[in-house]
Amino acid sequence: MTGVLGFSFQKAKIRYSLLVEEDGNLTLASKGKIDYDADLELPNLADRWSLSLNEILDETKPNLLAALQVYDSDTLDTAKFQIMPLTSLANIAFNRNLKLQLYTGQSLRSGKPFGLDPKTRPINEVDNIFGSHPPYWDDFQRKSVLVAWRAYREA
Amino acid sequence: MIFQPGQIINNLKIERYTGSGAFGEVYEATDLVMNRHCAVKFVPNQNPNQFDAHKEGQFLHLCRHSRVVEVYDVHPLSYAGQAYAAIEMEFFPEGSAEAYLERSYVTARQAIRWCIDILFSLEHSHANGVLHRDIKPGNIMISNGTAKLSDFGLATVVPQGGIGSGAGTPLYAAPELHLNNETTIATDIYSVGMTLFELINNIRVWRDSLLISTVIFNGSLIKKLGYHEIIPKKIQRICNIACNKNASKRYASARLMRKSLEAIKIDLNWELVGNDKWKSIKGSKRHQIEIEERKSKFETVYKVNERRDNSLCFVFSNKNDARKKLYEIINQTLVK
Repeated sequence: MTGVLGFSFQKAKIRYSLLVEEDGNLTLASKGKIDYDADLELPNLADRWSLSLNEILDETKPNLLAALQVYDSDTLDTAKFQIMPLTSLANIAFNRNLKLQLYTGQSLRSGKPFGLDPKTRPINEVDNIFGSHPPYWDDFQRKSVLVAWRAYREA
Repeated sequence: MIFQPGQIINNLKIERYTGSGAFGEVYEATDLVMNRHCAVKFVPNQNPNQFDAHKEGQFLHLCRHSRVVEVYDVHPLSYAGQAYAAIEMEFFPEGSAEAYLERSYVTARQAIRWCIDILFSLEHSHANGVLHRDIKPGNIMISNGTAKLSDFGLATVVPQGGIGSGAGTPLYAAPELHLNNETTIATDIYSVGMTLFELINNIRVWRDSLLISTVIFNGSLIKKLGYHEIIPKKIQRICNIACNKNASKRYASARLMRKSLEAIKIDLNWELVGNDKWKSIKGSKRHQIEIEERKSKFETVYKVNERRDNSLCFVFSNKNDARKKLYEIINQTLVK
């Protein structure tokens, strides 16, 4: 059984989704969000990210990690809440000897890497393939599914 | 006090007595072999062959987590004809949350953050099949703004069926523990709820009359005391769920309670800095609110970076009304 845990980061929240392959079927096994106090000072934020991410990995026990990578930071919030948490995740991946696959938003726009028609927007297909899972089932959450899906296909 | 400062027992040099935990005295000490500053709890061992006194060290090891006090070693030793398990642990110069509360105001952000930390540790302990059974501010150690759970002296392995025998500190113990002498995950949750209640309300001293009162035994202490006026409903609700008289209506796990606390977004983290004088710093803005008395009038004065915000300043003819308004403003600005 393969479990791929995908992440997307936003201010005060980290979204995650676990895709599990069993007997050739890939399904969304669980999803969730980590809420944190965005007003904490950076060292405390880093500690909180590490604590929460470790807890999610303990619970879901994935074989592979994937995350949305933001490379153009035009605001402090982007740097602080979308880029820096990724460093915590990367450190955890290293300590646990887990591979971490990173994808930019750009690389998730074509359907081709997902085995779809190249002109199909993969994010629009998430609900068709993995179902709809409210609450907080929005594009932030779908992106955490997307990165896990693509990492699974490339594994 | 069994040991004196300067005394050397095996490889441990006693620095000072710091207090008593469940079943033993705790000292600040130095491990002379490792050249390590530490805390040591000396637990009298009635039957060294059964290793009973070592259990606390074993539980600490089993529940190792960044929010659980680290155990370095357990030294079996004898002193004056008595066998001890000397549990060598991480030392915390800042002391416990209880000690912090005695000397400083605990803000809502601190109280919530510490309880989130403790719920992380509790979630981990429960996942390892261990009930702590004595969660209270005195057993929460503070270090660099974070909290760690200590004193597993009353901890027990969760038996089949999830019900352990009774143990704990009465004030923080759930009604079913008083009634049936049983401990479960739900009784640990209740203790965290009582801890949150104490911290969030900055209760430094409990009235002696309460400690023997039936309100403790029937789980209605929070209802009897009520919350400080500044505490918003969102926070009260979490405390009330955790301390529900009915165990089945409490959070089913430490994780669920933690998630509720994590969803609380503190806006202005108010701190009491003097008589009827509060401050909160958010980014580059310093918010202050206080009561000013002039010509037998009382005014709640709200300032941001020393400039009055007249939309939040009000004049009253008596101090109680002014204070009520002050609390109302804090209540409405504390969380988003």
